[in-house]
Amino acid sequence: MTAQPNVFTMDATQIDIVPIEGELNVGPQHPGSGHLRIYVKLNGDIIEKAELDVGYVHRSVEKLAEVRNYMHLIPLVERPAILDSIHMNLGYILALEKIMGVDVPDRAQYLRSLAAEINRIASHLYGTGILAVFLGHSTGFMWGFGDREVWVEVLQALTGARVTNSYIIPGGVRRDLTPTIKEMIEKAIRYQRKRIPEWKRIFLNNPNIRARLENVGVMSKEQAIAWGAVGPNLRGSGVYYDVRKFEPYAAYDRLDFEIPVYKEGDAYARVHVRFNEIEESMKIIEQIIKEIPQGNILSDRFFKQIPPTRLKKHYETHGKIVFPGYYASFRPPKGEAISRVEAARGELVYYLNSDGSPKPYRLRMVTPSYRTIYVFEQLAKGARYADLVAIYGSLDYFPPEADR
Amino acid sequence: MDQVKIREYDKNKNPFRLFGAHVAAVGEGIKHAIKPKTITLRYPDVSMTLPTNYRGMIRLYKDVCIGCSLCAMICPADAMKMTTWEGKKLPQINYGRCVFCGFCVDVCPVDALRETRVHDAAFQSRRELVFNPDKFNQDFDQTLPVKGTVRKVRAVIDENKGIRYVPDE
Repeated sequence: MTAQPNVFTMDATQIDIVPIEGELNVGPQHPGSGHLRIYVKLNGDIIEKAELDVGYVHRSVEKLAEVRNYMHLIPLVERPAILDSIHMNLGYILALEKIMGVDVPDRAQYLRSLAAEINRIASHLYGTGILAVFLGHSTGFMWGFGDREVWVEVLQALTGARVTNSYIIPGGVRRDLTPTIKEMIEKAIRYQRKRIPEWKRIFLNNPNIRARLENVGVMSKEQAIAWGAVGPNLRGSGVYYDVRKFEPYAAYDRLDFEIPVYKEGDAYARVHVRFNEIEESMKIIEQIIKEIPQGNILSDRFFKQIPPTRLKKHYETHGKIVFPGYYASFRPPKGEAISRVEAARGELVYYLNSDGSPKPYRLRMVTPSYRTIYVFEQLAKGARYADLVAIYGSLDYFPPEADR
Repeated sequence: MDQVKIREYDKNKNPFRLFGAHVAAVGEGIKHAIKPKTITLRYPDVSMTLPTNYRGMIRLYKDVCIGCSLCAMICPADAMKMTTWEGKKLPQINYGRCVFCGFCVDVCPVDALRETRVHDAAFQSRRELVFNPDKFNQDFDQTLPVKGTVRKVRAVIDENKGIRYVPDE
């Protein structure tokens, strides 16, 4: 048996430095947010090429949409991004409402924005937690998921389910805001405001985290536009773009909020964008609670179809909308529609084509993570292998959302 | 359009400031080690009571049901199916397929279906997951296999701790 050379006492000149080329598979069982295989071609520890092998969590939403009727699709479109289900639901309903020509009452519009912003906070906290555990910062992981729990609890009180909300229906929303939920939201905002300085001390301003994220995965403004980055990743590169401002949906045209944009375009800037967005979202929620108008939460067209006895029993006492029989199977007129919403990870596009039957002819969804695939491949090129996870986490890439 | 404000983060790498940031991070960790804000629920010794409008397991009121089959039509997962039971058309549910969206409860014109707040259940086989109208007609209740009593708690949002569990009833 030969004696092992002691690496600690060895002189650097004694070690032969051989340029090593090789391939590595990262995944598909990933400790992070889902299943994805990253095929990495290495030269030393520099990544020459990173190829994303997607499709492990493919759910066939687009094909299944052709054989289900419109209401059946609400839980289905939520499934790709279960932690961002309100946005997924909202985008689909907006496209459907365009085809049906439904007017949505003001209160329902505000409630949609409210649910969406609560969901955005929860989703960003989830993303931060995942980034933290990628960087080996387990505390951030626990904190992210712990803080998210508060917002999930609020959503549960509002919608009746933790993540599979199915809250938004054609013409409005399913449940009204009650004073108890209002109080819960106010408390949750106060809690989150107290937490942000703590987050900054342990995670954001922590020199270890800064060393891992600063100047890592730098994407210039031109590159971000050319590669088709969306959402916080685009805004982290200094591009002022947000669907909520440029093409307002729900109640966003009546709300006052800022879009955080950072100049640097590195992983650290993207994390900053997410943190600032959490703060902005809380401001939006406060405004909604203060300004929410009174009124119905379902379009008159459907509201009139609900039997008065049921209306009295459920809506007037519990603020719960019950469905008219119309929803069981309806035929929207022929037509096509496209809708855009700003989901937590970026712009989400739905294209819906109706041929007048109870089932859509075609549903196309372009999810934000799908558009991140190319950005990820480009950013990983030339980076150090250890930075792969930092880039992954900072892009907030969510495999099921990309695979659909 | 609003004024576009492009922000920049603080790039200061002064060694003293970095040292200060290290101390702040470690200090924060120590603070939380001494006074933790844990939200762990020691299930099943402690079990959570879910809010009143929670969409849990569904129960059928057989005598109220008119057999209109709207629930089976709206079910997104094909969990609800109509069967002929003792000469009457009644729904049966397969909990192996149910996604708990609550559409069937909302669409029922006579309120023959109702959501319960129960959500934790375990079954021995897949066949048990299918509830025929008779089984579906009862309140779902499964006692947890725990020695002693299960403490029931309710989650409330707390300004300092996030989530706090208070005893229920």
